[in-house]
Amino acid sequence: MVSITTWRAILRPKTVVGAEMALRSSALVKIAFVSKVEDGTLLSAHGEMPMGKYEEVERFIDSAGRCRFPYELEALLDGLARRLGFDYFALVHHVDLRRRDRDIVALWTYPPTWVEEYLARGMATSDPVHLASHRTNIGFAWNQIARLIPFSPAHRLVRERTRRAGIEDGFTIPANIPGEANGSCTFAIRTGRQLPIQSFPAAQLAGAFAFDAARRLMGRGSRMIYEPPRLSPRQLDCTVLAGRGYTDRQAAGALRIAEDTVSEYLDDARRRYGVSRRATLVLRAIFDGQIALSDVLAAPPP
Amino acid sequence: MVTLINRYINDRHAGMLTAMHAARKRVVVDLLGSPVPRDGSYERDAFDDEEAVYLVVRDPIVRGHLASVRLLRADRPHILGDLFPQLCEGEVPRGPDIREITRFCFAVGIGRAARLAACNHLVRGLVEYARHSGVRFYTAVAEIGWLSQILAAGWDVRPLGLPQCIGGCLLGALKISITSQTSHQLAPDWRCEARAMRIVEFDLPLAA
Repeated sequence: MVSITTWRAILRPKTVVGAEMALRSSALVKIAFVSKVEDGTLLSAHGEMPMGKYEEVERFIDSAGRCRFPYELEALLDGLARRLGFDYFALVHHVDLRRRDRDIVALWTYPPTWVEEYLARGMATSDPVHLASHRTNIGFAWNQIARLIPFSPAHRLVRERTRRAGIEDGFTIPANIPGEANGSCTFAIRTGRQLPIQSFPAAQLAGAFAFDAARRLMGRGSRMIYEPPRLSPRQLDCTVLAGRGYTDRQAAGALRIAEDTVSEYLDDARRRYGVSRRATLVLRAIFDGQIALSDVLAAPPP
Repeated sequence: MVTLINRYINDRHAGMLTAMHAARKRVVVDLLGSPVPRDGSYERDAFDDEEAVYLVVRDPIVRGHLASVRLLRADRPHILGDLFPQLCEGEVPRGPDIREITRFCFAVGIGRAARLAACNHLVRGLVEYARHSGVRFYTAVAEIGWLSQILAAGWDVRPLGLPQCIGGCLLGALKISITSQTSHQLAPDWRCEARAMRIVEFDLPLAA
């Protein structure tokens, strides 16, 4: 059987395993790195899983691949969620869902009053479930969120409101694909019910395939592909130094170029990003992986 | 550029193979915490034998190792069949027309854009290799947290069983089918330019 302790043991924030963070943008990087089981521990051995869950997922994958419209996927996922012992599902991109100017995945079976409240209050931005799911690739039960992110009063408020709306607990499978908006698939239960822990492995698989099916429906998310502007090597140097708190004069000294030249590099870099502030430029360049956070955290100006 | 290295030509690519084993050591041992291998700077295991085939993405300019993957025949000892058969709900797929994808590995510190490009080349190389050598599908043991990204490539992936917690990791067995349609099904951002596709060096004879 899968126990919650077992699941907790595999769930860890990406920053704990530095390699995961560093390698996140590579799709297949971890395939079969485990060439032998050191301790031979099989925490959930073959045959102990309740029969039928794998077949459920297989059937779902088959049908989801043939979906042509979102409502078909919604019905399929609703059926699967119930058969796995959940009451609701939510398949969403973590963006402001009120905006209609881009293609986003947003399918759910939550109570309509809750969805209205969630959207009206713009809760997506302070939803601890979303934030936690950016920190791991493995599914997590909501009571494990505090292991992934610092749990703030704002987060507590969202959780409280979720509970008051009759949604007691959930299991969320992250879908973080490089170059696209982050997303997730959540399976949730209503008040008075227990999370079906034995369904987590099946939910983990189904969540990933459900998100992929949704991406296929909207043309593989191709319209969400984001091409970061390219900064020149000198622009990157200046951006790193700006991030460390160097003034233009200090950066000029460090790079042995004229102060005006530093300003020009930074102006042009900001133009390429379409941002007006230096802090925003630094943040965007880090986010895009053009410069590393560790570069910026290195020595401050002398 | 993707280079195929098999037992017929591995002496010609000895330098590249050494670079690959060094990169694997840095990823598998230094980053992922596997025990230090016996020969110090290189990671090799029992599956790196005469029958193993490697696809290596090389830097087009300095021709160094950027990324690589090891393919094992599924009718011989391989990772899913020998170490994790419990990940398959049914029988472990075995046969001469099946290869197992193992040791997907990138040079450390090559940057995100280069890594993504190398990854795309490898995926394309895997599809081309399968088509040229009559491989019907690949199997793989993957940490299942990566499934969303593996699916994002656009190819036909199926689970062979439910994921299980093994040695502190959530592992799953996957099957990736390759047909004449696969290269057209790859997601747009996973398609390499046609020019880049054709430079897979098939130094014959292929490991058949």
